[in-house]
Amino acid sequence: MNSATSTKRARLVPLLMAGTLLGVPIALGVGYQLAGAMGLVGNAAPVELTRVLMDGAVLRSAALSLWIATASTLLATVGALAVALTFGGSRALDRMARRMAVLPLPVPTVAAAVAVLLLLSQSGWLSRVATSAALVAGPSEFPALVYDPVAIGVITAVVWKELPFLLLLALSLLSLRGDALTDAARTLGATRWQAMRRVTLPMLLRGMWPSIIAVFVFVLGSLELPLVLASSSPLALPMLIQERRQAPDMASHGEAFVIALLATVLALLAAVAHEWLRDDAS
Amino acid sequence: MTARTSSLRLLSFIALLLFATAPLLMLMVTSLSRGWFYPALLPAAADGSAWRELFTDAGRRDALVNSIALGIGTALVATTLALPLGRAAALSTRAVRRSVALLAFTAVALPPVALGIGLQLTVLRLGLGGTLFGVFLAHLVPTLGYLTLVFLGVFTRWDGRLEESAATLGANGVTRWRLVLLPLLRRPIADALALGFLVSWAQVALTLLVGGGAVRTLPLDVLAMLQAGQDQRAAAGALALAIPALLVLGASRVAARSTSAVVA
Amino acid sequence: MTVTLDVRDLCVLFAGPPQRSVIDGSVSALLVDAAMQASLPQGHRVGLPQVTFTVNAGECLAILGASGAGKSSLLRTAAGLQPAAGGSVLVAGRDVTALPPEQRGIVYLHQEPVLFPHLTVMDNVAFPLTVRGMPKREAHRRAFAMLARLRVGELAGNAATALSGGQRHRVALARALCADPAVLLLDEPLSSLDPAVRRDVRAALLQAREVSGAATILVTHDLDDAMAVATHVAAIGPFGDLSVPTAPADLLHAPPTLSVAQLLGVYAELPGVAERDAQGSRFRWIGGVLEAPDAEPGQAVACARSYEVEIHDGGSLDVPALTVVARRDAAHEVVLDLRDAAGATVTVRAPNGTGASVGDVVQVLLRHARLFSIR
Repeated sequence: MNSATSTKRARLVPLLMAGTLLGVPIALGVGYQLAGAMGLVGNAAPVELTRVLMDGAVLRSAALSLWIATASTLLATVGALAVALTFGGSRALDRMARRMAVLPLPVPTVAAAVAVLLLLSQSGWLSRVATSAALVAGPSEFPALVYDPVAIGVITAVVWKELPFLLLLALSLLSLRGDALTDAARTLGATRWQAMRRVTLPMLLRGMWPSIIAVFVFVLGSLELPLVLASSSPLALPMLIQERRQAPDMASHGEAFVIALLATVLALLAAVAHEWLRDDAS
Repeated sequence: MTARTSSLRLLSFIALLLFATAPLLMLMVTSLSRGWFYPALLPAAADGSAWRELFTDAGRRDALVNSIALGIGTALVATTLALPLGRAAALSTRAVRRSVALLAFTAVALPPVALGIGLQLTVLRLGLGGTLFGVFLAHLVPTLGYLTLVFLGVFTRWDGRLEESAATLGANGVTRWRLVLLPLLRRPIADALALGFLVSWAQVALTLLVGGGAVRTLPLDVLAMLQAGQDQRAAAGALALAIPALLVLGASRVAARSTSAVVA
Repeated sequence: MTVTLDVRDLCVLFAGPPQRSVIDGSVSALLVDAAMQASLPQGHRVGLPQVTFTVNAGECLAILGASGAGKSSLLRTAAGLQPAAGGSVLVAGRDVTALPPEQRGIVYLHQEPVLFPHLTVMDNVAFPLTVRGMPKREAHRRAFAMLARLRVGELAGNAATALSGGQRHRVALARALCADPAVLLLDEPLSSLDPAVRRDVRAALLQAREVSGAATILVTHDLDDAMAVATHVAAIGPFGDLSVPTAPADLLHAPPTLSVAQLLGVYAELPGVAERDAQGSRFRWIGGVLEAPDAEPGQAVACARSYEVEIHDGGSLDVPALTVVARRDAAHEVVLDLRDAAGATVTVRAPNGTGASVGDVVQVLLRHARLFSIR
């Protein structure tokens, strides 16, 4: 065997493996969505794509989901950067802060959602503290942080769970390149603040983009978060899919498949963006 | 550092401390309190029944056992499959690496509900609808995605010179795997098993859709309790979900500190 | 004298696409016919088209070359770590070209010592023995003996990751010697070492030579390293050609080509013209005329070492007078830029202690030089 064939094999083998192990399940999952949308399976009636896209309920759901994903990803990123830059040193306080901030990392989303519900709902703990402090008179006077149109509860739960993930990444980027970059900037005349704004932050963001997209996509597609914490009008997109799928009529089933396909396409776009940015970042 | 910035840092630290621990504390207290209603700041009575039920109530126990079985099974199978895939892709050309990474990330990024309604039909077609095995197959998809990305990273950063040295020193392929590769892979494999377990452990939508309500797992149980207004039981379940996850993370960090410096 | 390593017409590949420019030696790529180019693995081009040399047991061949010339690629190809596009490699008479690295009897040492981080020093050194099925106790005994011969016996129980630079080199050498190789390939073992560690590792290499009868190839870009350790020296030229292995002193005295001379880096290059007529042939440069029997008429360059040059205060001798325009004192010589009346300049190397300063008028006497024609 000469070297030309061995390189060819080096290319084919992983592609074949990935195709079977990953490609096939994804194709099946997406394929059946498509078949369902066309009314072939799943007890669904074929649905017109444009009708679903123009459906007010679908648009409102999409808007809500996009809002939740954007706001929570943004806050989680800002929070992670703030913690990384504030507590990035080697003092005892810094190390303790970092260890604590990472605590929520492995906690399953469902558990996080339940915890936030217990804290932030109108009969939750914060509300009770407010009542005891005579800031509000009753549960209904406490601002609706859960089941609210702005989805503060969901956003809080996401930030709690995803900030550690982004924080770890920011910390590792800082430890790799942070000091050398700030030193160079400072000796070139930049103040500490300037160095942070013009050198450190851009470097961090460039390295974090793929992960930020990952968080965004995860929040967009999560069912358990809106299930526990979000209002039912409008429904978040995953909830809408679930609702339509469970409705008794075939037309709704078809719609469920179409909306699922749309969500899938969004996720695919995000995956491409993620891979494209990942190459830039490394 | 001025006194003002130092007290600012202290305040930030306390805020961070509260932020990080409050939800978990809330779960802890709620899970141990009976009849804790608005506007009581502190629970009236302590009660461990919700915790006991996790193991005594048949339904709860089934859910717990299912979750553990699914977690271990998914972790083992996904790790066994993702390791050679990640390695083959890492050793290949850049285009192959990126395609595999893209495919793996897609498996992770697909909304579980969307993937779930598709896989549900697949599983039904295979006659596995509503079975634990069907749910296991569904869990494999995002887990394989995650672990492929992990091993892709591990092997991209791998120092190929170790195997070259071993080769010219007389070790053939099998021996190189046994004496050089596998020992150095102990840590990444442990991490992968832990991550694989956690991915399956936390699944909600996939289990719900592919299991069709017939397969009970701990996360689904927690949701059911919550919807039934049983806060204490829901909190206990949620904490039961969180604690193993925290332990697994802690264990892998301890392992990290004890192994000697390995290939970066 | 047993020939241990015999390399014949080896075609060494470089990673990277074929380049259109001729500047970096890819002229060789043009020499290779299209059919062969098509059979090369993706993303590779021909680097050294036909390498042929032999190394005998107990000898050490140093291969000199500029960065990127292909020294590492040559070693790695011989070791079987990258594919060759033609030619053959014979070890102790056995053709190993088609064999995987572990069966060739060739041990390759990377530039940075690569020790197995999960094994102790002892286990590292015993590795080639345990891999061949030797019982652990015997393997450890031999490993310890080897470590002791390389003066690092006390490190046996240490973690492989807790060693200093020089120690890592010695351990890697001990490990290689335990494999009892017929051929030992050292890829720039002394580069990027500070002088103290470099002396240490040079000593280790010589000690290793005493222990083992292997044919050794040492790749380096430093002439001093080559001379300290090697019995023979060869150089890779700009067209991927390897010069004939020669004893170091002989090579310095008479380098085969101008490019090799330039590689050695110890000569001043004096451009001029070689002439031939009825009275004989000579070399004429701006500093004078030199007898040059057998010189080919035409453009030529004379290469002279600093101790072959004498600088005299200008005027008394029957040679052109030159003005010193620049002077640079280096560690082992003085470098002078000289200009003649017509404005032509030349750079000359003179011995330390030469007194000429900028502005002085001097005359140069060449005691000896090597002449190379330029076509």
